[in-house]
Amino acid sequence: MKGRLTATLGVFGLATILLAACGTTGNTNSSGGTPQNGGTLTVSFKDDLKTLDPAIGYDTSSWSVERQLFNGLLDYKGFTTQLQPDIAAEMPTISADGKTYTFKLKHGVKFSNGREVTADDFKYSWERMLDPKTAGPMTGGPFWGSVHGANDFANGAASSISGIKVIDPYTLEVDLDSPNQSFLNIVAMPFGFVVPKEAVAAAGANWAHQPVGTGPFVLDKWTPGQLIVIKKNPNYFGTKPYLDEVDFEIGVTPEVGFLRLKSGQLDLAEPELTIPSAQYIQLSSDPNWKNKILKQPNVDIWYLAMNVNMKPFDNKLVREAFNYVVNKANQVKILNGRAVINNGIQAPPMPGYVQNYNPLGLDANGQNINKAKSLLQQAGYGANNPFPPQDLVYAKASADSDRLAASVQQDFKAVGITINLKGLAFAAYLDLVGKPNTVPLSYNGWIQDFPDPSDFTDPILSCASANVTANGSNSSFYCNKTADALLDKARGDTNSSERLSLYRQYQDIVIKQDFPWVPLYSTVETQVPGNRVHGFGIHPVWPFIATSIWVTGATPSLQPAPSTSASATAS
Amino acid sequence: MTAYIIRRLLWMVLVLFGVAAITFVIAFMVPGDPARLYAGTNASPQAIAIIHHQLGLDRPIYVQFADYMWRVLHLDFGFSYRYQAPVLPAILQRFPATAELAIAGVFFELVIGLPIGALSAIRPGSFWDRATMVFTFVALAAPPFWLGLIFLFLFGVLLPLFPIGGYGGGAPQYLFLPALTLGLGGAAYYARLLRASLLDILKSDYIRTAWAKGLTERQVILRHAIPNALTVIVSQLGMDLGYFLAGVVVIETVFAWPGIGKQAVDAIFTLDIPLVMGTVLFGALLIVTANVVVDISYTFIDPRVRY
Repeated sequence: MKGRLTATLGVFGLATILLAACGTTGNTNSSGGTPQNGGTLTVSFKDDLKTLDPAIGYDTSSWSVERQLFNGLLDYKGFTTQLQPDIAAEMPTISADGKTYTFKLKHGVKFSNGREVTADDFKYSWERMLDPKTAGPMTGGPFWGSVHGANDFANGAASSISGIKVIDPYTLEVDLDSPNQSFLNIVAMPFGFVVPKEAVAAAGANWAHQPVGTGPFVLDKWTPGQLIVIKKNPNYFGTKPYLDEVDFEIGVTPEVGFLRLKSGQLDLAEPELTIPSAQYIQLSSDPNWKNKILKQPNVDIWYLAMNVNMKPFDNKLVREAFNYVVNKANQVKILNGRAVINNGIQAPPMPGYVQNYNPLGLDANGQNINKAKSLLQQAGYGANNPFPPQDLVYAKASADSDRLAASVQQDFKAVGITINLKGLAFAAYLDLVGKPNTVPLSYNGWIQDFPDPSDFTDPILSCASANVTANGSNSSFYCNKTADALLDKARGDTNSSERLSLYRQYQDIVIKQDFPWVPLYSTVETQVPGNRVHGFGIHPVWPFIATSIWVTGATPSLQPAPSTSASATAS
Repeated sequence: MTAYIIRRLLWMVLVLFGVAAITFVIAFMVPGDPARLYAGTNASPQAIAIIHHQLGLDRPIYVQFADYMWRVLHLDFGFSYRYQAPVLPAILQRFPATAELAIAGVFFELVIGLPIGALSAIRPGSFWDRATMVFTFVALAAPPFWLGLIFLFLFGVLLPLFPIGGYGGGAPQYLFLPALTLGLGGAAYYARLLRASLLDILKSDYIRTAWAKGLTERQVILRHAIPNALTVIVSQLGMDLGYFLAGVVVIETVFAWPGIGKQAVDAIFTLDIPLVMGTVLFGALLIVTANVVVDISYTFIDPRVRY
């Protein structure tokens, strides 16, 4: 689990692809009415934000607010995964060798401090984001490393990134070391958002709490642990939002949040996360609410990672045997059916995902116990040489975490293997599974950062991701150089069908030949908006979009902290 | 008396030092690197090294501890990794909410617990007494988070008399349910404590003497029995207040009450060691202070107590 961290689920990676929503009512709640301007939307978060600095935030809560305050060159069109220009005037031109991208900027885009955005601001913002002194998550890893000179800059060997060139105030050119078909998706991530140098300098260490951006809203107030208020940005260059204000109340548990939502005292509870199981059961059995639940594939993959460098998982027969043991259907049941069994590495509906992929011939539960026993015997385990008890390390991130792990524990009893459960706080979990030769067996998840199959291979299965001393995302520390060559080829392949074929070949090697994982399932995100809310949707990439929302009726009267500006306004 | 107070204060310092040392060691023994948590996945080793240096984590633990204690003596509790802000103001910003809840919780403990405890002791074995014992049994057994959710559902949803959680700037309607939930367990305990204490006292010689003097029941109970029974209540009350002021994690979490208890738990989960240290030390200071104040207050409540 790495990439974009979801605090509650305890997952890595992130984002999503839309396509066919599998829910009862789709992924948006457009009511068909005429949108109304004005009003305040009230939203609850369980935990406080870590930051509002787009160079640092890498979790769903931070992205939920950052997305409202900042813009990048590109963004996703509506509730789709189709990229479109944002601050860019048009889609970039790409050189014939696929290595040079030229972006033209819109004229007249202004920061909320009134200054116009230029190409220099993007160069500054991106260099700041990759500067080790900023200490953000993009200073290493696979995403921006393909920009020419980025690694030298990150290592301190260069004072600027030679591959990012300001041609004129409205033209930015980016050179890559090698073609990268996912580069535009990377540019659209919040790490690519533009920030004004003078505001960063003026705020100093407090910049994360005093952000200045170009977005549809501006930060009005952030009382740590209590409340964040954002208000409509009068200088916004795009289509103005309907809402005057969004209040994020912090520290509200799901139990309280959904009680409030049902009572009309809240508009959205944790919109950046899926509805927790306990609340989902209540809502889906409530005739007033069950038809309002929105559903959409979460584009994630959950799996057991077996560390290929550690005993007993350095034995391929053991890894293969484990692939036949887990009752995946039970895992799905524990998640209230909000998941589908997944036997591969790509998640639905990511390009490259293979429907009904089942190369090991598993039964409907995802098992073949006899095969598992036979393989364990071949590996030398039996009555005279019992399989050593294993610790299953997992993040105690949600109420479901323990149940899911316990179900795995139960499954392994069928083949005589004792699994000890080691549930850890998310921070401790991340630290341990990211270190080589530390954790033999772990329960992991990865959510897409952007809708490209490379996001499900490069950060979590490639040799580069295994070759780390700590802080890794490749929990199995799997590395197959032959297979890696397929990834290298796919990364720059402009022929989309050929490219997807390469990713499918890679998947076959991982799943049918090397067995570093036991793939389990992919989840479905669920959300429910309050009765005042219209135009809310589960975005395929962004955890929360406020610009499409309008509200009707009075703002919930029981608002937090009347001593702040939060309780003002009405629709 | 003065010597006693000085001795207690010195012990206080020693206890706080011990708490700080133990917390510091535990914080460093927990797996997880705050720098990695701060920088996130994919951060380069250079970025991690810079954060280690900025946070002072690249120094030996004893140097870090000595430096920390020196700064604490100057009321500098460090800089929160997560909030990128000084720890003490962050705690003090949340403390009023906790203090308000703690005082209101103690209020409910007293106004519910003392009358029912006294009434049940005066009429032992009566219907009232049995009903009281059932109430105390249920109130003590009910987990606060469950009780809190039940109250929210009953009085926030079914009978929408109160807001469903939140702080509301400390407005009474927001305070009522969390304070009641907090106070109910203590009220049950106080009722039992006072009942047991009063039953003992009512059998003592000086009470028999009071009856023999021809005093009314009211005079015997209010003037002679209850003041003596209260000693034990005061002792518990002081500790409760100190404990509540140090943060009531469950209540604050259930009711979305932005106090220091919730802050401490968040700090633990995010490995924000300076904030963990700050909240633990702050809480320990309040508890230890409450204990000292209680001990000293005995001399005023019970003239027989001398130090």
